[in-house]
Amino acid sequence: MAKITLGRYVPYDSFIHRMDPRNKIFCLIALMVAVFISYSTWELTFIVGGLLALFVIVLLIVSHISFKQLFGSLKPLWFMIIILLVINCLIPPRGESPIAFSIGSFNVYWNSIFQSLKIILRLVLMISLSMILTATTKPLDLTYALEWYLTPLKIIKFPAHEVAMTISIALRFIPTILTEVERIMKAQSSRGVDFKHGKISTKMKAIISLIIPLFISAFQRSEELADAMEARGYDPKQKRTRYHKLSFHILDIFAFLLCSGLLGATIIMSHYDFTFFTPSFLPWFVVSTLFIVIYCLLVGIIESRVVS
Amino acid sequence: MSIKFNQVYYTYSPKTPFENEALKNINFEIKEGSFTCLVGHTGCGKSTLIQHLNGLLVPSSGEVVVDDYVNTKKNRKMRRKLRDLRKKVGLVFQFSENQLFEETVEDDIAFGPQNFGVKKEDAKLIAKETLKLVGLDESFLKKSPFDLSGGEKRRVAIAGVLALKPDVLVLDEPTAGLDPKGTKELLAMVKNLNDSGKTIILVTHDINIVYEYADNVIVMDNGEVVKIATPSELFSENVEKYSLETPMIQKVTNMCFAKGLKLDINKIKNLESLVDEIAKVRSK
Repeated sequence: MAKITLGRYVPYDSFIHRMDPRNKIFCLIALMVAVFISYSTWELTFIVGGLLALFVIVLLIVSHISFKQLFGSLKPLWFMIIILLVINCLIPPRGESPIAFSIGSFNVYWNSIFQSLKIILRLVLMISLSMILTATTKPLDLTYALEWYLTPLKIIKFPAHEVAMTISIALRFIPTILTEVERIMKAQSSRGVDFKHGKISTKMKAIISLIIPLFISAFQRSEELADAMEARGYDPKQKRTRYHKLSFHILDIFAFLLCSGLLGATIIMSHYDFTFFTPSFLPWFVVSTLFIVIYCLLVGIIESRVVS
Repeated sequence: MSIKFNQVYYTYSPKTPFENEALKNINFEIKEGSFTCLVGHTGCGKSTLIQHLNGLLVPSSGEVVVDDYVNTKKNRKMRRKLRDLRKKVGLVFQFSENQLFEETVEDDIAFGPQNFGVKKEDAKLIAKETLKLVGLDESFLKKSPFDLSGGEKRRVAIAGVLALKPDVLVLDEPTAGLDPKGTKELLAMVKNLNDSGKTIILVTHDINIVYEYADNVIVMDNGEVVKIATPSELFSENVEKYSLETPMIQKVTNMCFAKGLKLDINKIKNLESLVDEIAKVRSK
């Protein structure tokens, strides 16, 4: 259980934890789009990428996510990164590009290396961002936020509440099922099953001995849950009230402005083809840097107040 | 083969906000062939403790010695011999019927021995024998385990562990959710296994079971062992401080004492022996 830390909600009390989940989802999307915008020159790509990375690092620190945990969740990516690098180097880049180095008669271009670096940076940022979201938001709050976003679709008879309920039940049962997996694995290990070593055929058998009991208990659980919900008069068509109301605070508005500002700045930079050293870029650069600095300071002040 | 816990500590999810010290300084010894009951209320670390017995969990510090196997954090070499340990100590989990997965009862019981290198035909023979041991007849061999009743499933699951022919059998609340008849039969079976020389460690909430069957009782509270005693020793004092109840038989015996019947408490284990004792005293 302790091994699965990726994106698990960790109950700290930070500004990001207290943010409105609807706002958090918006900010996440805005930042992700900002991360994925491309620019005409490599300098701009990496300067903006670096700034965003800096921002994400601040967010990571504020939301108490340990870097150890983050690197742990990035581990499976190594394989992908290597493949990316190899493929990018094998395919000759479009357009002119200086040669980085040659292996025999085969040339490796700077463009290919930059290209892979860009993709890696984007991937890492994307994963960090989604981790910030899931590690600081209770799964239930997330589904409430999702439901809120889906509400307008009710006009076209989209079952927003049912979908949100289904997702929240699924989320609710992930830890339960993980515990179940652990329990069954232990029970089968006691019967001599080795889940880690052995030939593929014995491993298959081991997996079957895990999956069948797991499915059976999952089906049983879902039936019981459906009965329990009906017994308590659950009707998806009814209007419901909530114990926890989602609410916007001043800092939410600030975060909202910051993230949309960042997104806007990146779009403008990309659209008008700013080269980094032209004077017209400077205001944008100064404004966005100031924004980030003010934000970090503000969050820092609030955090220190909460801690003391 | 004795079992020994030396200053065992165990912490779940160390160095995270979920950190939880489940076992604190556990020290005790269990003798070969004994019947030991482990009691304590929910969440006191009983299930964590028994998982140390066959190496599913490794102590955060301290060591668990089972025969010549030492289960400790430092001892990496020993982990290769984990299979031997698993064969020696059979662990029946709570709601063990959840572990059934094969198409027939026979295959499911034969699954364990095959994991330890027994040939398929021999494993099926073992399945046949063990099924008898848990009190089910041969007609069950070809049935699907999912068509059985709860009590029957539980027995098949126990047979699945017994088929490994362990020297030590650890059962985690084997009677939970069984009807009175099923409970009685299951306990009789466990007692039989104990008489045939197997060491039994039984986790239970039912104080009457403890009183009737146990040689030794280990009482746990909040991750610590608070008392190790024989049932008559344990229940002669006020057990409410361990949040336990006095067993029914003990209560009746105490009432008989109050009425002036001089009963020999050491001979009273269950209803039959109580009645025998009363009859003996009355006839004098």
